[in-house]
Amino acid sequence: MTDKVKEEQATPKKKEDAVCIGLDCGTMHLVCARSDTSEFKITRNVFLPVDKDNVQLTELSEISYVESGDGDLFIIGSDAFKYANIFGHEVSRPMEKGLISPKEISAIDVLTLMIKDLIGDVKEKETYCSYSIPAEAIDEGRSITYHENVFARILSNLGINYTAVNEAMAIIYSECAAEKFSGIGISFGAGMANVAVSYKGVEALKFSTARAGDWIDFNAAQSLGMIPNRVTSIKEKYMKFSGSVEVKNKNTKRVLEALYYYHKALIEYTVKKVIEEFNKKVNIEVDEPLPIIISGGTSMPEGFTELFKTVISGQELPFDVSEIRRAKNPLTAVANGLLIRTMSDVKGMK
Amino acid sequence: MVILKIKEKGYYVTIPGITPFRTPAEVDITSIGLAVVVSTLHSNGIDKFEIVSDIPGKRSTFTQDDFSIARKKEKKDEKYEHLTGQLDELKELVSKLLERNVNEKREQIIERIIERRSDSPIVEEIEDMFIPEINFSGGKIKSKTESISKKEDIFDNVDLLSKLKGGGSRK
Repeated sequence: MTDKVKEEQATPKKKEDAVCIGLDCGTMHLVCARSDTSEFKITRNVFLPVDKDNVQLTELSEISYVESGDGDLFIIGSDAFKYANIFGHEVSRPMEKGLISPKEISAIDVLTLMIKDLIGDVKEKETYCSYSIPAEAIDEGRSITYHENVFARILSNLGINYTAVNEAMAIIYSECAAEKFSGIGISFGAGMANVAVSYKGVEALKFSTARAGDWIDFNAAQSLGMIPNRVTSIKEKYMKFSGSVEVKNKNTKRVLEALYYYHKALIEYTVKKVIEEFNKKVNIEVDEPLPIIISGGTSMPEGFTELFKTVISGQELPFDVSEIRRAKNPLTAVANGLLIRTMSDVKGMK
Repeated sequence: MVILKIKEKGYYVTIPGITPFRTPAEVDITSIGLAVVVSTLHSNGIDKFEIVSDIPGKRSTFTQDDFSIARKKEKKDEKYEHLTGQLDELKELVSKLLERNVNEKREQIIERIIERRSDSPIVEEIEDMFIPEINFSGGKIKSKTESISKKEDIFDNVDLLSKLKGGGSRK
């Protein structure tokens, strides 16, 4: 149902008063943008189950947690990550490789509460939401149907009218207004790399690969005999591809070295797939150079875009590139684009 | 004597017990059972014939209508009936919509049909059977989400996208 509108109509209210939402359902982060607030709300899409017998709720006064209807306790968000690192555990993740994780089906309840909390109060308001979905992966057989419908169900239960929108197209909506929404959006997320080619707002190609940030962390961790959490933590703290890296610890340097190799391999793989898919599936004649927009959490380290430019310069592309640039904020670009899409749709309803 | 009369031309008929013959013809079938004659005629695709008898005390003339094969009682297939019923309903709905709104866009008509069909209580019942309920009130959450301020004005992007898309896709 990509971009196919599937909505639930609530009681008709004035569209002028409608609340518009962009909800980026990422493997690592959930990001929400609302038309009636001036900020993005972000939470890490991870949790850590805690044995209730060993913890008093008063001990949790400073951390984020969820207590399910069945009485189970979960530390959520960044706190889950911190505690997992301290205790050497792996965090549980509701999503894996861009989709609802088959290993954590019971986590849907936790995910639901996290989304409810992130979106905030929408009671008595006509609310419209575009939520992000990945494209079908070309290198893995998993379908997005279950994932798409679970999120639809969560939003529907909250009384929100919803539309699923491709994640990479959301980047185009956010970043390519100057080019009249023509461009190539690449979202290097945690679970997947999503690519969309848009020509004047019309989707010409979309696909995803199952290689992204988690693939980097997993392989770096495997290479060095570490747990992926620890690698992720080092990556987020020290990784950059330009300037000097101020790390003295030799082991940390080894991790950064491995991370560099896998980042480069990821970019090479993605660029190769973009070329292959473009040659195979794009039939329209694109007569103007297209900008490439790099976004997603994995593209956050300083110098990532420069590394991308270096890798792509060695390839023969089937299209002309006007510019390669990073999204203004790679962490919020998808939510921003989704909000633009929702507001545009609601505007068209008036 | 019992005579079989076939007026239609062009058949070559083989009835067990008598010499094969071509039609039109009148042949003596006194020695052959009527059932054999009639079933042979039917199997040869001959459905217009007459059998005349001069045996005293018996009916003298029979036609094909007297030997029409009894049709088996058709079993009522409930699923089939349900489907055809739905199809009829749909046909009626489409024709009503077309009659009422000749100028209405095709998409709008289809949308309305889908809307009407999706009201079907059967679908709801099936969904409720296996989709686990999401209970928001049962759980508690205490969270501190990070906030990033929106730096730019997005209204220009919204306007441009609306123009390009020629109106929204939501109702």
